[in-house]
Amino acid sequence: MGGKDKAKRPRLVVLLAGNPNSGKSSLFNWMAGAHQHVGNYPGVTVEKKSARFVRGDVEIELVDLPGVYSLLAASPEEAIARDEILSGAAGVVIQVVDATNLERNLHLTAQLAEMGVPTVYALNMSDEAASHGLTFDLELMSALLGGPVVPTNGSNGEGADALLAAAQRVAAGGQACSSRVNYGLDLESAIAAVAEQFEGDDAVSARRRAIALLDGLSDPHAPAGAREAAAREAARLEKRGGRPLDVQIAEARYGFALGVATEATRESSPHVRHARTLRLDNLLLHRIWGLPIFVFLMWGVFNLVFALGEPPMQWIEAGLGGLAARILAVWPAGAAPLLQSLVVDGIIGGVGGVISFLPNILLLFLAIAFLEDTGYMARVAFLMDRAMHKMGLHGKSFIPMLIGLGCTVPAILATRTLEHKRDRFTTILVAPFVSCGARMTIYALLIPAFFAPRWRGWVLWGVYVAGILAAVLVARLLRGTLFRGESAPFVMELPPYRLPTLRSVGIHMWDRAWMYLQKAGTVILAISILLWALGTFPRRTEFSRDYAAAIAAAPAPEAAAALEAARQAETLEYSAIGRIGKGLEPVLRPLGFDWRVGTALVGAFAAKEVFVAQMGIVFSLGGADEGPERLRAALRKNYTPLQGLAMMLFCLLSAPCVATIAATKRETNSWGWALGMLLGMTAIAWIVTFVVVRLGLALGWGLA
Amino acid sequence: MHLPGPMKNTLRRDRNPFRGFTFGGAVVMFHPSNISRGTEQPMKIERLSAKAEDYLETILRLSETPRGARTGDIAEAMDVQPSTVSAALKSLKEQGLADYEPYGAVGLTPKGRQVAEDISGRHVALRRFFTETLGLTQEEAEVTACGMEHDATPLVLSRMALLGDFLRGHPGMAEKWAQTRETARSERAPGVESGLDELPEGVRGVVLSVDVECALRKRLVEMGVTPGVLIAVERVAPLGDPIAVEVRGYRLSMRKAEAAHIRVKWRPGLI
Repeated sequence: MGGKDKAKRPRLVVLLAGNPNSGKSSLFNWMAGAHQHVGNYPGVTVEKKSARFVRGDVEIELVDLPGVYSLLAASPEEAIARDEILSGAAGVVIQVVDATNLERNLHLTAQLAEMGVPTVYALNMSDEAASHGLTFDLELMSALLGGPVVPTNGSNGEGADALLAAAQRVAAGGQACSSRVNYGLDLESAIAAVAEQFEGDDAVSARRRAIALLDGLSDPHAPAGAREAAAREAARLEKRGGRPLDVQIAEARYGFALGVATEATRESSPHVRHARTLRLDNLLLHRIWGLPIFVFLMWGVFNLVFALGEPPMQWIEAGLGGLAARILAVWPAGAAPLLQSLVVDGIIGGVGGVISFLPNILLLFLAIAFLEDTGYMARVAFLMDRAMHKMGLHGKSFIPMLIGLGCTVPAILATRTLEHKRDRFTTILVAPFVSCGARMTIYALLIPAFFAPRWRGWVLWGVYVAGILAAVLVARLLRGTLFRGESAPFVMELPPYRLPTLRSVGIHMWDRAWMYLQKAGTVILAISILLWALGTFPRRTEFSRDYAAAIAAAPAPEAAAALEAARQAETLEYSAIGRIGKGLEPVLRPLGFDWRVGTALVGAFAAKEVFVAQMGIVFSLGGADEGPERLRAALRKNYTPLQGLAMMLFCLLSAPCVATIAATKRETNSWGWALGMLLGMTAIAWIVTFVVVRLGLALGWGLA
Repeated sequence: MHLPGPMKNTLRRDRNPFRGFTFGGAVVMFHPSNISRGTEQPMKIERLSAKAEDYLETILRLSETPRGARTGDIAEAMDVQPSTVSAALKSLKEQGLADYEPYGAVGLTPKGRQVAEDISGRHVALRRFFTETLGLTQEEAEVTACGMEHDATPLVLSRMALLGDFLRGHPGMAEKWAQTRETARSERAPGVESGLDELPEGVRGVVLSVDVECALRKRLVEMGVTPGVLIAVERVAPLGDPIAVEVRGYRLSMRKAEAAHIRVKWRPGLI
């Protein structure tokens, strides 16, 4: 019945376009309400936000296009915005225009006008503009822009409904945006000459494609004649104008933008625009105080994400532990032990692996949403770019690297703020080298086991520095090989500071956390269960002795526990993980690792902290529950400090955990990168550890 | 008064082929290039050479003084030999434009007066356009008006007048234009030319060009850094690298290496 209704209703696709920081997303949130859906555009990692709802008698699909400064298709975002607008599906385009920065916003309008689609303009933040002493002649502006102009306010949703109404009205009329940039005599004659060659196209499309060709964009489907004409005209006009044609075209577009902005704006008094932003920048970007304030704020972000996230994380773990205990309690004794193990160890463990990150991730996205919406994120990049650029990264890579000190998974998700693929992928691929909190548990076990108290701090410091150093070197290596070429332009707007609304920050946070659960979560869960299976099968039925009988006959609980631990050790040795560990021994031998370390390393792929538990099991100590001292004693007995250091180095540099791989797959949208990271990091870890161990042996260290 | 009445709308002037063909400083002759073409109603006014028009204009101006227009004064005003003036006057008289007695004041026939007033009107209109709308200096306006008054077609003059009126009617536009114009002018004014990275903080400069390969150039121009725009370095990052600039009413940051590709002109000490 519902389907029938839907079929009858007319559908209308409304695209929301605009500059970054124009308040587009908050306006989208007001219009879309609870109907929104976040996903990715096919094949790329650009976020697609859309909403479906019914207004009047029309089913509206509202799509929030990526925020772009132009439609030249230079970045994936621009290409998507352009393709969506030109796809023919769009009934109407709404351009969100920041009233406090008309000139630059209208530059996009100049390009949009060439698309030949019905257009409505949302004059956003007109209240803020009024506080700058700016008022607007809306009627004149609509006349000049060729579509209705609706004043809106993204922070309280004012005008959102009127905007939709206007969009529906314009779509019903079907009238394409009637404004047209006049490029001046010379350019217009060139445009006409090129447009003539597009014989199959209608006038609007021929003009648009002609301009695009003259602007230097590639158009593989353009007729050869058009391309020749464009090259000829470009050469002629560049000679005449004394500058590249794309510059001349941009000048004409800005001429249009300046003209409309000037005509339609009434400036009541000469206010300094964005005086508040200037004052705040004087403090936050201060030559001396800017960096200390930044460090303080980042300390705040780090603590917010990890300190505040710690208690809920423990609640979740305690809750899952309680759930496992309850299941064990009600489980009929001895019935289907395999299923019991699957549920308790595999599924609950896997779910735990997914959702125990959730508090951190929610808080991280809260922090990022706040930093982005206030405008400070651009300042972070501004402050840190010099240092990060030297490493082959971008100023905005700083936040992911910082977050990486806590946990690599949110760090990889935090790379979303990087606009350019090269910067973003480099950051994703090196972020795991930064020592995360989980690896700290490994250092906490090994360092006291092998090093005298006065050296412990230094060793720990050294390991962290080694991680950062590895990140820097690999970043530079990647920049020199896979991501070779000019680094992407840093040219970036420093948007005015604005106080975000709770609503927009909340929606932002939730959207991304939900995406994590859906996409990364399922992968983590699946691999966790796989690892459980590898640790369980093949099952050992025959042990070196009859443990059941021995445990039953044990004189004291300690003896029984020791026997149980020994049985676990044998089980693990027999399992696929144990066999893989043993199978890896020849490879690991040069690093000074035996099969026990190999087994623990394979298990640690589920999560780095599992390394400690697995070492406990292989040394027949029944996990680390007994207190780490006995395990440390066992380690001291079996390995040298050099081997201990090698283990730490290998854990630091080797393939990160399942969750990291899943996050990488999710963010790069490719298994290739995820698996490449896995192999690459393992190879790097092996080589570095090998070199360090050989060097240590050659120098006669660590043989004691 | 912007429009010379009799010339309205129809007369189309080709470039005077006799321009520059001077003969002892005086070329006073008809030339027929002015006959209007097409189906429009042909104008019967015969166009004179630039030099002849200048003489008529000067005579008109001088004849309004108490002394009247005398050969010596005309020669002085036009910076030519008195003998040249005599020859020219003779030619004008033959065409029925001027009227004179030896050693007496030179007068204009009604037809001559009409032509002279027309030219003078064009001159005033052009001068006004040059000073008020284009913001040129008096001297430059005067010299250019003298040169153009003969060649500018009525359509050109009427459009110029229209533009002047338009800007007077839109003070906001006029102000923006004045700003843009002053910017453009400072391109020729004395100043230091450098990369944007060398522009001192707080000093306003004019973008001359964006000389860099395609991707960065496209990004810069789409962000509004186009030739002729005013730009100022607002601050340098604490670590010394990216800079924040103000352009088109908003803030943009870029690395110094990128800023170096933007050529700017500025005057030291001028904010």
